Amino acid sequence: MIYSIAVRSKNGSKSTIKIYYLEISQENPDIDLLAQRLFHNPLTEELVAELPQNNITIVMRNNAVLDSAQQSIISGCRRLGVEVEAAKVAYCYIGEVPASVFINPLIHVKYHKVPKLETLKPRGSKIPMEVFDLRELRDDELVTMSEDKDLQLSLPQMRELVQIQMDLDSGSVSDVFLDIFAARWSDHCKHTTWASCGLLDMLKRATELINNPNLVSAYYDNAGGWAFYENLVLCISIETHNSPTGKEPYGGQITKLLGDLRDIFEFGLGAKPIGALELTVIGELTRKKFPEIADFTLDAGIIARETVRAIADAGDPMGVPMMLAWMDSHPGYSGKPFALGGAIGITTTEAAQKGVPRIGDYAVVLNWTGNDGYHGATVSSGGLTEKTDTGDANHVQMGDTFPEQKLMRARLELRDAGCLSAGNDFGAAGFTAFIEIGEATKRGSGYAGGIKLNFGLVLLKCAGLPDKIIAVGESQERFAHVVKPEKLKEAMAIYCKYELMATVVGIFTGNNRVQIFNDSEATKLTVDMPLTGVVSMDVPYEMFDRCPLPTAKPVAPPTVSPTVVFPVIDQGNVEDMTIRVVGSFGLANQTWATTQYDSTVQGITRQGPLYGKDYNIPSSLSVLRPVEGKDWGATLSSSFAPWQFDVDPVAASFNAVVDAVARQVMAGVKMEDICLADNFYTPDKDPYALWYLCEQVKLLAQTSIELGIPFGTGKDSSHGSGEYNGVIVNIPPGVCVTAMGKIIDVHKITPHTWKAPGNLLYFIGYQAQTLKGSILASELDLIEKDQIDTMPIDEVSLFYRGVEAFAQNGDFVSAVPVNRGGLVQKLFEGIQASGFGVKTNLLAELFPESFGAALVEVSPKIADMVEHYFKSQVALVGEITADPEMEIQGTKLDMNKLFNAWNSGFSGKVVV
Amino acid sequence: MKKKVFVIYWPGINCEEETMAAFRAVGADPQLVFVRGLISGKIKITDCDLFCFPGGFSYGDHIDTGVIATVMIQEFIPALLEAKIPGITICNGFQIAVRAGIFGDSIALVQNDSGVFCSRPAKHFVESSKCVWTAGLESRVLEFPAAHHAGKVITFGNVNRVMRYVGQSPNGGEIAAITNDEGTILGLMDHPERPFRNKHGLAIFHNGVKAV
Repeated sequence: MIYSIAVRSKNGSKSTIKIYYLEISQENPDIDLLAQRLFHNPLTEELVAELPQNNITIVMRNNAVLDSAQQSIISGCRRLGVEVEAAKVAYCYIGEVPASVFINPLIHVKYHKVPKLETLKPRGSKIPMEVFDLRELRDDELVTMSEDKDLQLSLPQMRELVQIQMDLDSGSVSDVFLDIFAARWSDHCKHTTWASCGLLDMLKRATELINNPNLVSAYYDNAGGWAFYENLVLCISIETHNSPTGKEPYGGQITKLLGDLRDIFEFGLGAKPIGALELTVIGELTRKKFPEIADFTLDAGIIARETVRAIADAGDPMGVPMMLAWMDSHPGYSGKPFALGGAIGITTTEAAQKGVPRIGDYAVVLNWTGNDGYHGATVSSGGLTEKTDTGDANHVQMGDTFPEQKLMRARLELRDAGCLSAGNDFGAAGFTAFIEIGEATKRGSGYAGGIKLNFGLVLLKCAGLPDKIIAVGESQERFAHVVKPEKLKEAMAIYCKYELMATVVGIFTGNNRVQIFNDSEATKLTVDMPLTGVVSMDVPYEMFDRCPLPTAKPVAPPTVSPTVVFPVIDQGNVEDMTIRVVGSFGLANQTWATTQYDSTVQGITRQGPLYGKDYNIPSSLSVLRPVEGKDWGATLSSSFAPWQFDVDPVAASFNAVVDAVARQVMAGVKMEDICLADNFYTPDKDPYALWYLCEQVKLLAQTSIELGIPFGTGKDSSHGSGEYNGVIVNIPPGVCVTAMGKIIDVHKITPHTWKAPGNLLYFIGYQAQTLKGSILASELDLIEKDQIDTMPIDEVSLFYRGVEAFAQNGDFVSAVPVNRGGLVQKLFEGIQASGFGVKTNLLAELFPESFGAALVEVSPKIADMVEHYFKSQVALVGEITADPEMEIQGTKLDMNKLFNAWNSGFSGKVVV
Repeated sequence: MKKKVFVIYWPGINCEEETMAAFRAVGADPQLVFVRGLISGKIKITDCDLFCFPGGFSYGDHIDTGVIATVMIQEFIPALLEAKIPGITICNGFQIAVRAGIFGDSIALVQNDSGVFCSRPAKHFVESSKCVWTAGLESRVLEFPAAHHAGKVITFGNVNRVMRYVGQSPNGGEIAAITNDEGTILGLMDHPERPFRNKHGLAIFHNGVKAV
């Protein structure tokens, strides 16, 4: 029977009523007790005896999407003596639904009358396994099958599957077989585009050549490992996520953040996440370069709000401090936001290497399996189309924070108790995580892999879930653990302690085969047990190695002659130009968003995402002090400038590297203590995208070698195009570069904030001469393909060694990078952060963006030394003054106007 | 002999480690106590010198902040109060303590005026009170961060104020901390345990341990 308890605020809005629906079989449950003790605070809320019948909208999650509150509600009710079987939380809006409420048809169901609910449980009957004889299909039928089944496999890949079926001497293959091969051969898992051009090898070779002894693990695990101090290792994982489409950003953004944290949990034999990174680039908010796609996507303001809501809702409960967070806007991301998230973690040296299963180890799956997130991996191979972006519930993703947060703690206990041989998160391709682990037994252990999985033992959220969805569905909060048989009891006790659901679903066999069957009676798993029930797959591992790679060749773009003429910036327009820069969406005050993310939890934050006297200026470097009683610092910086990639994708990738590195070095981190992470995100429908990608990777590898700073991890997504009513929307071919470093004493970090009037501000670095690819150029609508200014690559090493020496010596009183928005942005931020002012004789030089350069504050006593050392790479910007004013060549800008533009440039477009 | 502190853990709590670090820093012996252990009878809640309800999102803050955690621990509260064991309740722990009636029945915590989570530095003026956790700190302004979504104190009668916000309030309210009638239990939304070795925050923990 379904019971409901409705409550509303006594003092807040009377037009919103919260309804708790409870499905209870128990006779005479004490609903009044539940209402009084659990569902209602009599001081602030009142019970609603009868819901209004008219002019209402009742919203709740549809039955296929489990309510994340259900398990907690069940626990609370049980403590009060009532056994609840299922629960949902609904909201009843009387009259208009508030503008801040976003009802997503993929997630929610809405009623305009009080519904008579029959059940709150997911319903469905078991969909039987399908089998196909691929040998009978012509090429066009193979292509159609790939499209119809959303496999995203190319014709050569489908042909290879035909050959595999013949080699198996099998009369048919199953839908599970097709989905698992599609996942394993997807761009997400196999990185086919990169593999075909040898790009990953290029970065790996650069890393090997640099041979930095700090590098503990690179390009092998879900995260890169970097030696910290004593017996500790930092790890970093940065990911560009595919799911936050313009249709459904909330679930996808949660998935992104939680996915990054999962990569840290399962790094090596387990690590603790200690910091998070958030970057989202949305489409344009004002000018609409692609008005045609408005019917297919949400308004950019909604995407921005849903992003902030998602990151706060998921990130805050996890208890991992937000280190850096910012948002930007560019028309190329109108179809799908650029959703980048990252996390860093810490573990011990012993636990920093990926584990290897042993024969007889158990495959244990954590949490429930549902239908949220089918084909997540293959969607990454196909990019977005109207079909995949219409909200087909097949790839709805709704990560659940609560079980993941509990596992974060349990995981460390499991590590320290030595319960696991290996582990992984389920990622975008579900149970293939186990298959991947099973294959890894080949690596260095001297025996073949092999796994038997019994889907009949998997705990399901949805009745009758077909095996193919069990196989590759995401269900974000699941984990794949390899438990040693002798430690199974101890592991189960730890899972139980943290109230986690854990089920043995398979066994590692060493027979070099992937064997999947469904037999709920076969609960005792042994290495040699026969496959019983419905057998959906039984193939040797080596068949996964037969993936045909794409054969596309890079095509260089034609040379273009720039036509843009930039305005001359003079005394007459300098204030207007400054307002355009500081008021631009990506540079404006984003405190409304950033302060929604808990940046101080764990008590380890030394320098968080914001700084300054009013705590409203974005940090360029975040610093943690992660070990109790030690001054050791872990540092994080990241660089991504979409307009630069729009104008000159290759040079912009170089600028991203030097910007990320510069932020660290000017703060006092030694170059040898820095490692890098790359996140490429490129369009598949741009005919020159592959060329750009290849050139970018080449340049990154070369820059890495020049700097002596290795890339330790990286991810790529090569399908950033969308097609809407025939209109193709390409993202700019881009790469976000993130740098992680370490410093022995956090007290030696150079601060961002100006310290004292009378001190001098110097620009050091290569000074860009034009506005190409700048924020100001984008605000003036003067963006076209061209060559942007960059520091000569052969100068980077010497220059940063010099910056390093000054920073190590404590000569910089403060330092910030000169990047997006140019010097003028940094001067404005410096004033806001310190409450002091600046007097400068520069003018037009304030606006070009010189990535990799720095604005440093020095005492007048060492001005000569700075000028002498940096010679042609130094310019006096001006002097810090006592009053909060910006004086440019004798003209004082109206700080109120600047502040108002800066203060409203983001919130005015996002906050409702 | 180090004072034994029970730091209560409900699933979803996320500040227990830094809270225990703060107690260690002032010479106490913090022990993480799972609420399951209390319910099963394996642990007696009064077997400690001090107790702490730390911050986080107990049970995901599903239904409402701290409500399920309150249901879980409610039956043990009378024994805790009867034993007059000093305690500190922080953020989600404060929300749980308020719901459990530790600070009387004339106080509630409601959503921030902004309607959203707020993570930022905060300044707290210590008022004169009988609270043992702030003894000797009166008239000082203590700085430690705020990080909460539903932290505005509203009152329906007398409460024993311990701190008020100076400058920008993270939740729109004035009251930053309160105590029970005996002055033994401190309740506050903001986080004196952050960051490690924050002298302002540690002064509070030091006082609590000293009071035993």
